[in-house]
Amino acid sequence: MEIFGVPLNLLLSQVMLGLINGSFYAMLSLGLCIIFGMLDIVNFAHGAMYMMGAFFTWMLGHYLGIGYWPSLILAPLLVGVIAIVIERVLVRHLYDLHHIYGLLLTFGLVLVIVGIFRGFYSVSGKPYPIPEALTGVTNIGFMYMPTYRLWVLGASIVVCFGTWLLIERTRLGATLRAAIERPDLVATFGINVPRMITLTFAFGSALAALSGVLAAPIYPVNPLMGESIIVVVFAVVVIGGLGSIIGSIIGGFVLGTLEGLTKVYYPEASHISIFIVMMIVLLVTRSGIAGK
Amino acid sequence: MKKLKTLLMASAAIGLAGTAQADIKIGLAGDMSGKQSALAGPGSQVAVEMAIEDMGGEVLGEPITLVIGDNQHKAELEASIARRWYEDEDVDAIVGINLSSGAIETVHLAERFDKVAMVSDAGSSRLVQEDCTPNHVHWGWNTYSFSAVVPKAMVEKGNDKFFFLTVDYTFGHDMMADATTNIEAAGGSVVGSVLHPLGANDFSAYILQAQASGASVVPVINSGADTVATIKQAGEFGVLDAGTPVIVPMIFTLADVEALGLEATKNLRAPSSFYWGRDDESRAWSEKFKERFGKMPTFFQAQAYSATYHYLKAVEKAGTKDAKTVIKTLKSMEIDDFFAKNAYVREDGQLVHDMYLVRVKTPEESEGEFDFFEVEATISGDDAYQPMDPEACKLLQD
Amino acid sequence: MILPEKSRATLYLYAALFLLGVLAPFVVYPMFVMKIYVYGLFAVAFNLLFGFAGLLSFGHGAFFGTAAYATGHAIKVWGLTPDVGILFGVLLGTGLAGVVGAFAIQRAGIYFAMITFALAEVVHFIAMKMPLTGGENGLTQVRRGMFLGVFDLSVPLVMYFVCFGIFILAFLFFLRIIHSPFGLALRAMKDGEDRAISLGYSPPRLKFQAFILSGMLAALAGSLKVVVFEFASLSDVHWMTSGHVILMTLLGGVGTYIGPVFGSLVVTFLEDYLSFLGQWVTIITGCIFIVCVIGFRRGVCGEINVLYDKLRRGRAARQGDPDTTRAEQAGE
Repeated sequence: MEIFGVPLNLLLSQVMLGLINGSFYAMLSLGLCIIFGMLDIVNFAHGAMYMMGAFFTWMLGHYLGIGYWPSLILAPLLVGVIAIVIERVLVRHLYDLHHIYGLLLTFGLVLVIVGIFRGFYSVSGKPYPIPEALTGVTNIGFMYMPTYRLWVLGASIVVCFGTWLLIERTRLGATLRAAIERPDLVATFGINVPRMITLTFAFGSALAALSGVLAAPIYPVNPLMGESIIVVVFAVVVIGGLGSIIGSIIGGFVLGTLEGLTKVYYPEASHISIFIVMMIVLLVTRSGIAGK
Repeated sequence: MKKLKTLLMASAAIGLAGTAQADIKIGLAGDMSGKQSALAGPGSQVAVEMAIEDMGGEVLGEPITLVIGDNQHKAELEASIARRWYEDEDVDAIVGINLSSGAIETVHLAERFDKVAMVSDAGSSRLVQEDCTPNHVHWGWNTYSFSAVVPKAMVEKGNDKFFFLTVDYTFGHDMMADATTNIEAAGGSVVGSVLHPLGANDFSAYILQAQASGASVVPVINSGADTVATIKQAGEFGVLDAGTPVIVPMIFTLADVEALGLEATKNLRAPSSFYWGRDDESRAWSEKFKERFGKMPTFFQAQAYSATYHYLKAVEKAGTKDAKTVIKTLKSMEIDDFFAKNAYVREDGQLVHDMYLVRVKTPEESEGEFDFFEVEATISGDDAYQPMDPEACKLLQD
Repeated sequence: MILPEKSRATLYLYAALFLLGVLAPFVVYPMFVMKIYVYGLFAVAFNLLFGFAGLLSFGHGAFFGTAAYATGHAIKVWGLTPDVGILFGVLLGTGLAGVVGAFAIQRAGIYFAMITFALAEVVHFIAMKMPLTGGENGLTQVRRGMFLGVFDLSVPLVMYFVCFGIFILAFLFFLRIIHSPFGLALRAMKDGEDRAISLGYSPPRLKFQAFILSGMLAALAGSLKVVVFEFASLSDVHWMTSGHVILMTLLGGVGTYIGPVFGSLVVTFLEDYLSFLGQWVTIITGCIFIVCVIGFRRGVCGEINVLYDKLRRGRAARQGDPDTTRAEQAGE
């Protein structure tokens, strides 16, 4: 069976692969979206956090002999600590200013962070193997899918919806959402709003780092890896609706799938397709699919 | 205001410092900090410095100076650097030049200002066709000579159906066309191709399409991080282990193997214009290079050395730094160093020399940190490079 | 505008700058100065939209690059003179700005920026795909020719003064826009759209007009660039070019008049003369970004303005002259 001249099996495989790429978009845009919601900062350095997540994974393995599984926790923690420092020292100066300043500051940060990594490790990148337990391929009916990618898909769904539950269904999340709406009021309840903001930035960055760890075995690990993905993730967040958590999660998966489909019919346009969708969505819906 | 003045004065000072000297001035232009800085970049600087030292630091009794320009992987900057050097700073020869757009503009600027360009990075075969000039030499690989290396070896083994995985850029299209010519000449056939945008993240979709095409060989025409991702993911999908189709990265350097590890790249085959461990001569030079740079040289870096060294030799032999005379001398003199074997510079400005088919060693075979390749076959330059094209190259017309 | 309007100091300053511009090519490499003008003009164009209408475009590279390609093509392939070529480039660039603007002004803030960004990416994609741009090889060997039939641009000094002249005319045009009723209405709209509406202005129309004017100046910069450098490439339409112009404007001072040109000077100097620092340049640029955003948000010229105002106010207070205490803070 063929659909527009493409065998169904191949088409399904491409959709599946797109969905898995979408899980990276979803996790990254989720972090970006939380940071935007809480801090009102368009964090261009999100891609650098992702890169650091992957790089720390390699460094932990290379210098300390720490494997993939502990790195899943350790690398995001390390990046979270760096994020706390960045927020306390730099980002906090910008809360009352136009978005552009946040964007520019974090853009400058990217240049510095990427520059440092490039200085020490050059741009060629580092190897990272797939963990022993997840090597090989699994037959999922219409294709042989590398087991590791299935793990990525699963992990991403758990992380995304876990985060969603945390924010929408717990007391902590409720306070957080309240702090976004009325920081002054929340502060009068004795809640330390600045600390909450710092931790949110760290959490969002750690999410990016976690996607970096997941990416290390399959994408090239190099200082520029964040730059190529961050622009797409921006588009995903905008399509989902800035500040909408569920929007950015679903947006990530949907856009990944859509990109996968483009790769079948007009492969060289796979990158541009996301921007065209973003534009149409913005013009039709005003502020993204689930935007306020 | 004060700031502006100081800046202007500082820049003027730099500008004047450039014009005041009568020495031999070499400019190395390349990507020192961008996407491709691992291929040539700072390593090429070391290589060029070594070439200058090997000449004793002077030619014709004049000291040799070196200036460095970083194009940050932007064609824009490359062209303006070249122009400033030629026009304002009396640079006699520019080496390196990694972007084909920048290279094409640079060689024409060289002709206009009557200076020399030794293109040792960019691989566009246009440089000796419609863009050939009496003021430059293309020193090293081009899209044609690299794509000539692989098809023959593959077809001989019975792998005669090719499917391209190509970056959607002029470089990709050019190389694909050159490779098609070579494949058909070797008796193979092209069954299809897929184009991907530059800097894509995930290549699995393209790999699956290549697999589904039923081809026996998939030449991967891209470079740097794109190549690394393609190979990494081909391994992940089990294509490398299965051995069908055969994945052939067309631009593959030591830096790429370093980024992937031997386990993930073992037994891959790729074309190359140089490998440091090829013979004792190349080994001796490369050890010296490693002492200073910390890594073994990529073929781009070897090309940068060789281009600089021979330029200086030609100046010495010609007894002048007059650009056209030097280029003429290069075309008539004997070319031989650790890099260029059985080499000569053709009338159209192409350095013709031996090309190699290299195979990546397995982790067991590898004996040291950079012991990555084994030279499997040597293809003579005359077989690898495209024939001279009198219709395109104006130098061949009179 | 770097200093309060119509003050004598302003006139002196512009006169000094003009003199500097006349003398510059005899001291400094003319191409370097022309590069400052080209990107300075581009930044002025961007600043018109961002600094005076409050609209952040992340896709101005599209107009700049399109005009560069169009002018280059007209001169190289059609054999037109540079003046006609520039006109053609500006027309095409302005037309494109009209299309992009019509879409983008439908949305505000970050959404506006994203739409301009997306459309610029589309333009980049088309430029990459179209054969006449030369793709990655770029449009090379555009030869300058005769400007208006009298000026032989292949002579460096002639090229310089033509470029300088165009730059000055364009800058005066920009000043004219800012000081026209239209410019005042723009600023009123920037401060509060509702207020502008209640005064009888139509913000969408104002925005659209500002977008087109800004796109036109950006296109002029692009056309000028291809004539000066005889070269157009994909990096002209790349989003990094759009990012670059934001950096220049920010460095020089958002909403100041001559500020973006200073920004262009700093960035061009970094790029051209400090490139031997190799990879450290990006780290230095990054630090400049950070320091600017944290400490000098007004930019070089904005900070000078404030300083100057303080001085004046101090002096005025001493002399008891209420007239000169009227301080206009550009950049805020």
